[in-house]
Amino acid sequence: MPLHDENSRPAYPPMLIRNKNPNYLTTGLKGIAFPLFVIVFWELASRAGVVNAYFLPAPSRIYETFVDMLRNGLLARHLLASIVRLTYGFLITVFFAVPMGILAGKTRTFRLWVSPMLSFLQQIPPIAWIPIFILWLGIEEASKIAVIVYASFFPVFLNTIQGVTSVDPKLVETGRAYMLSPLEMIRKVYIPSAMMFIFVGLRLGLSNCWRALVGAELIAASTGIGSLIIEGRQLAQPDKIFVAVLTIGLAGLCIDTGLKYLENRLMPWEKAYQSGEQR
Amino acid sequence: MNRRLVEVGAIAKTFYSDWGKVEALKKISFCCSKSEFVSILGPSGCGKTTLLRIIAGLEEPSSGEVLFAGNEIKGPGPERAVVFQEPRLFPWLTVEENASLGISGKKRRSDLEKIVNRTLDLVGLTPFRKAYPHELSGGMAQRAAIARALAFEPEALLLDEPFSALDAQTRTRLQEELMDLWRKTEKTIILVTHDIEEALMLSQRILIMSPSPGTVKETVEVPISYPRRRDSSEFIHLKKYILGRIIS
Repeated sequence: MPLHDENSRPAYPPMLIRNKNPNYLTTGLKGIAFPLFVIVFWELASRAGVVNAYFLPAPSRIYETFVDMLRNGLLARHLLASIVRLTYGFLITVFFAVPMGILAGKTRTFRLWVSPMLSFLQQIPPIAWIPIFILWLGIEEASKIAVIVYASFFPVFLNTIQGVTSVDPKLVETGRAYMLSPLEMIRKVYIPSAMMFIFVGLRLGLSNCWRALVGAELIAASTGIGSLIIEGRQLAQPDKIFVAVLTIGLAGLCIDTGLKYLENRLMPWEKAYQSGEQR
Repeated sequence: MNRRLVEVGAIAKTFYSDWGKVEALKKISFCCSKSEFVSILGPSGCGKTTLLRIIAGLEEPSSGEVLFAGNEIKGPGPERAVVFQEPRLFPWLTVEENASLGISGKKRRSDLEKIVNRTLDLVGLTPFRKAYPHELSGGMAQRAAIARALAFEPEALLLDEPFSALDAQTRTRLQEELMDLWRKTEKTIILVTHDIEEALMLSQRILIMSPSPGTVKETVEVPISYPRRRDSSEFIHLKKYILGRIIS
């Protein structure tokens, strides 16, 4: 049989399609141009004395403080403290939320009994629980980790349910027609198709975690990036506050980018599947 | 030798919906011998897909039975492979992994590789074996689905409007390729289609179905020799005849 691709579509070799490479340089430049403009304007305004340095320190001042804090290890110490909490909390979430999500997705009764209560709990911002958690678990690490678990539980749990319940019945039927064993069915149909949703949940959960953690540290902590902000406020060092706030943003961005990268590596087919281009 | 491979014996299928009872199939009987190419032709909603799904073992008839080589069909089996209207490839598996779906746990590794190589070669997808389904065009995806069916090494291929979602050129090309496949492999093929020309180009026998309830109205032998031409007078003559039978 002759090998030919039909004329319906341009016959790209598939490898070309996969590495469709947007020009990272220009898109990157566009993304950086605006903040750069803001920073330059801000610096100029500071030097001209238009803004009060106490309210809004100049970018150059913030940068100096940043370098100082890097040198004396202050930033690293606080950031590490936050990240350790985040890791513990997030691992606990994954350990409970994913199996519970699978259980809830597979059994209707579980959903009926539990989901109204969960929908209610979901409405409460994790920070609102902090005083109670402190009362119950003490002011040490446990209460902060509890906040993190609370913040990330719902996205992970709900997306896992979604993943388990939204397996394409056509693929299940195909598996049946080709006589897959129950084990193969789980391995080849259920897990990969739930994985996509679970990963979305993990990403959402992790960014929720990060935000809730900083909130918790603002309220009661002696270490952590949030406590650094309080320290800056108490010592009347706005440059320190800015360094901490910007670090929070950057660290969050790094975490999310890392997960996105992992997602693309683990599931190269995912994007096309989500956009409905499945075959 | 004209061994009966598939025997459909007076099957009926009734669905119960919110609007009441729907008789999808009523008293359908036919036989299909080994290496025969049979088409089931009819308008949408005549139950032809249901009929094929019953033969595939994906659905049970309400009454009657289907025999395969003398044994009653009770579910999907290794002697029958289905190609659906949509390719239904697993998006997380590469072309070769998709092709080996039905056999990967059941064959030795070396045999597996041999079978997959051969089938991918047969459908012309060897250069794309490492590609994922989303990287394929519609025609290539459907070829991969055919490869999956062939790698299953069934005695009969059950095709449910496999080309209906493709554009005209691709469809014609895949029809030719299917013709080649049939000659090379001598599989028994049952093709469900609503396309008169497709049925006439490919099959030796056409079952014309009529809807509500779905019944076989007439069986037409196609005595035209292969390769067939759409513009030959006998082709046009038969096409007119079938069209008339469907409309009346």
